[in-house]
Amino acid sequence: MSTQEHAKGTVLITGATRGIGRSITLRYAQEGWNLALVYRSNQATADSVAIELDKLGASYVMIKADLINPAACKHVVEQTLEEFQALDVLINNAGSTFDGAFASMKTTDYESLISCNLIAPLLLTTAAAPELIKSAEAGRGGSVVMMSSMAGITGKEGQVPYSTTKGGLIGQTRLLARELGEKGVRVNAIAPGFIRTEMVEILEPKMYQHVLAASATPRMGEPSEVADTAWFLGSSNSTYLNGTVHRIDGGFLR
Amino acid sequence: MIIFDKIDHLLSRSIVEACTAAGLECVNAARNGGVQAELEKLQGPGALVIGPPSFCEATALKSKLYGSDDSLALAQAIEAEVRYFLETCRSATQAMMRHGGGQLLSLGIDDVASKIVGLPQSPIVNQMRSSCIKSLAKEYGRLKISYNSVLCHPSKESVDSKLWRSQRDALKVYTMRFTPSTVQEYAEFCRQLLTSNPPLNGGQICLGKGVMETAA
Repeated sequence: MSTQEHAKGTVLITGATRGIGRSITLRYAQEGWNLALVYRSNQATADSVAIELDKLGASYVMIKADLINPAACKHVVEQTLEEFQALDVLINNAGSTFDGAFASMKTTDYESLISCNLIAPLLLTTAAAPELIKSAEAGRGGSVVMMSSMAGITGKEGQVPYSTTKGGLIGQTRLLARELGEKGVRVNAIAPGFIRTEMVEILEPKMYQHVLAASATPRMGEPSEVADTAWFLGSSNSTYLNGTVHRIDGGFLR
Repeated sequence: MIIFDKIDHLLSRSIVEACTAAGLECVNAARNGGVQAELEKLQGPGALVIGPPSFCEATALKSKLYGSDDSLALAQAIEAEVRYFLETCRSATQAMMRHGGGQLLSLGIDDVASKIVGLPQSPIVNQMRSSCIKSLAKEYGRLKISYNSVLCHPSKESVDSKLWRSQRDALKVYTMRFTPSTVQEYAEFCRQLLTSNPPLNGGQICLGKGVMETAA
């Protein structure tokens, strides 16, 4: 870990070492923030991000935690404070999916999805709320970004439990925005569409061409394009945005 | 046959009354061995109505954030609601697939209007249900199963008339001289939705005066 004395703030990012989360991490690093980065299990990707952050001279701490465990959420906030003595922005990015025909699924197939996509962000945000409120009162920030999905807005066949949890996350954004907004903390959501991540790179083009064709910008989005919005929502450039959902989907026409 | 998962909410009870008055057979699954058991009894395409959530997420969140409550009550309640809804939808879908079609209707109460008049608010569950319904419609609409959700403003009967009057100014965000709809009006709309086979699948229908667009 490197140190940076004049950081612009401290951001806590979950699912920070892969896909969209990795891009968000690098975006905040480039902007000179302190980074508390949560990853679940993949040490290789965590090490790889660490190498990039060292090159940038970033100030960061890597926290290995499974946020399905409620105690882990508290622990993550405590570790962030121990390292940086403040928390200004929380980005609930970690998520997982389980796809298939819903009628054939078993409850056990999607139990962890509910915990990971919907309950963990709630537990982590409520654990972080006192620090975010302090940040807002000090005029430093106080912002939460939820990573939802277009599936949470439009629904998606083959992804019933996933879209259900991502829809719930949008409701959670509204609930938390209403409550924490009174204390100066903003809570907003991002709903990415079809973004080039490991999850979609393994698909054959014929499986997603119809999605691209139904977009006003007929190409896949890049993780960095989502990261730009995540940075904007955490920054002082978005101080009157609260309870919003930002579709990063190239103008998906549905 | 129209199966109601439970009829503890005024809106659900009123829909039962409206449907029964129209000569339709209604069943309260909560009193008859549960939704799964009632779905097994279907002889052909039927309908399942899932009543509004009653848990107040806003109260639980306040308690968690500012009270001495260090429990997981809010998280556990949300988790239980999501699990219940998914399991109920899956059971209904399986049964309706066997019977060549059917309808599933989810009921909810608008959480912003509820906040204004001091009723329980469930934005997480409302939005969770809507997204689930849309996905199910996309996946199983081809099998002649329709899934829709109805989100109503609080009815005239659900709040004391003095409170409606005292909140007149706050309710201007919806419309000038806000007048709440009666629960019978909502129930009649739902009865028609359940019986007229409209060209609608995956819909989130908002009922009330001066309904605003929400985030998604």
